[in-house]
Amino acid sequence: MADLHLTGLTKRFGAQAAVYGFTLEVKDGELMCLLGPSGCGKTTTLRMIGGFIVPDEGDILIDGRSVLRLPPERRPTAMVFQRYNLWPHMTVTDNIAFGLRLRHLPATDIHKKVREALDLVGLPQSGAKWPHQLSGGEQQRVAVARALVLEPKIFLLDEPFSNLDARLRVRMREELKALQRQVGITTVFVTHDQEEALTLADRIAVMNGGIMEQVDTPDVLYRRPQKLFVADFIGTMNFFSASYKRDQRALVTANLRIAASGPWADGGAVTVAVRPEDVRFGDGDDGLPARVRRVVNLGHYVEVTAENPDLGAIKIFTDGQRQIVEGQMLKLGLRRLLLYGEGSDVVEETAPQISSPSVRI
Amino acid sequence: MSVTTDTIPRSGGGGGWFWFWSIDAFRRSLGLLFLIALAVFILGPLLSLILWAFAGEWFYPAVLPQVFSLKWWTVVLGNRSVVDSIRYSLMTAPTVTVLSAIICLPAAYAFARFEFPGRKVLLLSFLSANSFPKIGLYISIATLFYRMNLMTTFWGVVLIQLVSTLLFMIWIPTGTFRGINRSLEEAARDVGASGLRTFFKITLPIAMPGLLVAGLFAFLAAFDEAQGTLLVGSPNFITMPVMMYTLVLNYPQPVGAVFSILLTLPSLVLLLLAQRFLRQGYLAAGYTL
Amino acid sequence: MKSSSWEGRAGLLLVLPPLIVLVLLILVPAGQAIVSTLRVEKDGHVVYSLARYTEILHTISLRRSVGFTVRVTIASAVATFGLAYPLALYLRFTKGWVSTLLGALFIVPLFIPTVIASFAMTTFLVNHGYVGTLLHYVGIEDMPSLVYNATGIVLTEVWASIPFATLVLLAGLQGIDDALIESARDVGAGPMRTFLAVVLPLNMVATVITVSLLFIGILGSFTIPYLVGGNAPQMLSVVMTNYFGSYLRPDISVGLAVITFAIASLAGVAYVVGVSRRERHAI
Repeated sequence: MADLHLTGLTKRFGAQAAVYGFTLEVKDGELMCLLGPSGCGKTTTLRMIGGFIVPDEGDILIDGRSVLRLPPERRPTAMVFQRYNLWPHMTVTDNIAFGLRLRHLPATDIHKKVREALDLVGLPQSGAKWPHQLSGGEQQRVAVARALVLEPKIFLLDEPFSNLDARLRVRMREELKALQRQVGITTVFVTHDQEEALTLADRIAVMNGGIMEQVDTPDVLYRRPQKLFVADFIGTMNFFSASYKRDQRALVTANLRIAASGPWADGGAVTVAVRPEDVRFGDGDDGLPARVRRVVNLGHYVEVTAENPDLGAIKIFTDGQRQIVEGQMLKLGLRRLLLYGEGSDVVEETAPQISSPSVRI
Repeated sequence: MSVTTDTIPRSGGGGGWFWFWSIDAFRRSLGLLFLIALAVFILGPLLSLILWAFAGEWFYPAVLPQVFSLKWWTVVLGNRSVVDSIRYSLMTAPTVTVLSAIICLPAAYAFARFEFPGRKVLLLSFLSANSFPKIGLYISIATLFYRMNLMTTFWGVVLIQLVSTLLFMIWIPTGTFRGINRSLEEAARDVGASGLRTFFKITLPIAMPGLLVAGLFAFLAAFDEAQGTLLVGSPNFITMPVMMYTLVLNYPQPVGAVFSILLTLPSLVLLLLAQRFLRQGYLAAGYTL
Repeated sequence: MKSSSWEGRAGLLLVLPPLIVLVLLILVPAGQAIVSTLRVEKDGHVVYSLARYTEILHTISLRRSVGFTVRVTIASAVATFGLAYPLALYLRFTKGWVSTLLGALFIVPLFIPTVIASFAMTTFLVNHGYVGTLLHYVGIEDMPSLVYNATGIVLTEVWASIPFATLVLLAGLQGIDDALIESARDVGAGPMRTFLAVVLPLNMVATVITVSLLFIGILGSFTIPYLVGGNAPQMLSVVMTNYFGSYLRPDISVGLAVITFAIASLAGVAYVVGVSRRERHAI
């Protein structure tokens, strides 16, 4: 097994840097997700690891040794591509055996390894089939088998489920997770789907504009996004803006005053972020007044959109125990705030003191 | 919703005048009419050719020959120079096709896969092979061939026919190679195949149908070439199409007809072999750069 | 892994062999031909002038040939296009045995050598030929001749060009997403409106490619006008051959080739513009 180390990877296409100063450490057996919007450089990074793109700067180390000078066929990496990845002129067995035959293994060994790989991905009967006879999910499983049969040190996947339907995607995701645990292989997975990243990954590296925004476990990433971009990109988040009054040690809006202090400039704008599950309903007269605009029942929870003059439209997730109808007036409380000021990391307020001269809170 | 089964004319809109187009029966009979007209236009001349080839006597205005006979076949096949022309054609056209493939296919791959300065201009320049009138070229080429002692030689004929095949052998394979998803090749590199092995084990087999179509067109272009072959090859190398000029202008009609059928046979054999691939748009892929 | 400079060198190296053939057998001869037409001997000196082109343009028969060639070429290209476009539309949008048969039929001329096509066409169209016979039974006797004139050339050119034009147009039409057409029908556009507003503009590139390559191909064709055309006026390629072989004036012949090439270049420009438009769309 192996660890993977990327240091200062930079790749420019023309004048534009697709990836800039990208540093990341993937531990032995870890499943790392590269997550970001399209065009953020995640696929470029993955293809640099696989050897399909040569970085302009930086280094790629596998088990502490640079693989930069190795062409893709000599790197100890194996990749599963987005689609069209099975060779249409070869049977499933031939697809999987292709790489083994290149290594001049004895025929009996090849046979045995192909059988094992097909068993591993749950397709023991499909060896003689042609790629076009397989469903999308089966094709993707064969692609996984083809990559894993070579026992690579690093397993790379480039949005492997993006061409599957929603149900199948969820199933394949779970299968992959189980498989990765079973084999214990160091894996880098690229996706633009945050749900996929949150459910699959041991750690997630969020990328934006070719730059690493944050790398953390899914839990930390969700609870405490370091940058505004991550806060906006991962999960649902409510935002409103306030300005910082240093002498009052508070953030103020038209009607509200939130006790907080941070490394922000006096009078500077600070974006306040609240997770929908951190908004609670106040009892009696306590809380910020808000009118309910929309109620959407999403099955296992209810999404309420309410409007307050200071916060704007605000989303609240509830369990649906309490009856809420559109047009109704509510009192809201905020349990936990994340504060993002110009040029600084997040400041977390777990029990914010909010007061208002005009409204009782 | 679908409008194809509507029988009611729509008011307004551009379709108003063409409401009858929506009636299935009208469309079908129009298609049938089109089919019959096209069949007469395309097959008529060929049918008349076949009848002439087996006509012993055929005077106007009989619909069919008065006497059917195979006598013209013995005349044609008994003619030494006719048999020679068949032999020359079957020597030159395959040679040209293979030579053209060897020269052009690596270039087509490069056009499809590599980025290099002037790629588009160079690719377009092959269009000039078909846009400068051949006779103007041949007059200049003839001077060059005289100097190089290529006139009236086998290789002179091969070179002159090669010119007509370039466009097909570059453009169609370029389109074919470009149509192959790169990740199929990358997947092979990833599991340990070198660039060359990837080409021969993955790219080439997948591209084969398109390359066969290109080869077919190159073969037909070489086989069909008469103007340059006449200039460079005669009197030593008279190929079938060149022979055809002589037969058409100097012999009775049935002789030309018999020879035409002989001349069409290789194409027909190839047509049957290539039928499957032709429907898949490989030809058109080449013209889109 | 390859770097871009490696790629550039390898690319140029692989492209070199056909390029050498192109340069030696087409570009250099063509260049020589063009230069030779400008070279005129005057008082024992060689000078460069346009004298030969003035001579060509002052020769009435040659001027007529240029006009005749352009007219026949345009007529053939337009007729082929007019036949191939409905055919491609029918093949693209209608299923059934009629469509299947049409699909098998239109491809046939592709496999018939042009010499044969021309010869077959003459036996078919000639007075007292097959068409004549059939017309005789319908009671029509005095038909204007269909062959050994412009009509014969156009008919044969159309016959020979249908497969190519239909294939390229069909490939273009197949590239249009069904959903685009269905949504136009869905908002109430009739078939004609759908065709004009959706299909025609989306297939513009294939159209330009088809028309320009048809024009270039027909303009330079020799066999068809040689065997099916009349004595006068003749298409330029036939005139060139006559000037070279019979009148022993290769210089006039080459001059006509250059003029033909110049006309073909106009279509070439249309082609390049059409193709680069497609590349922009692809991005």
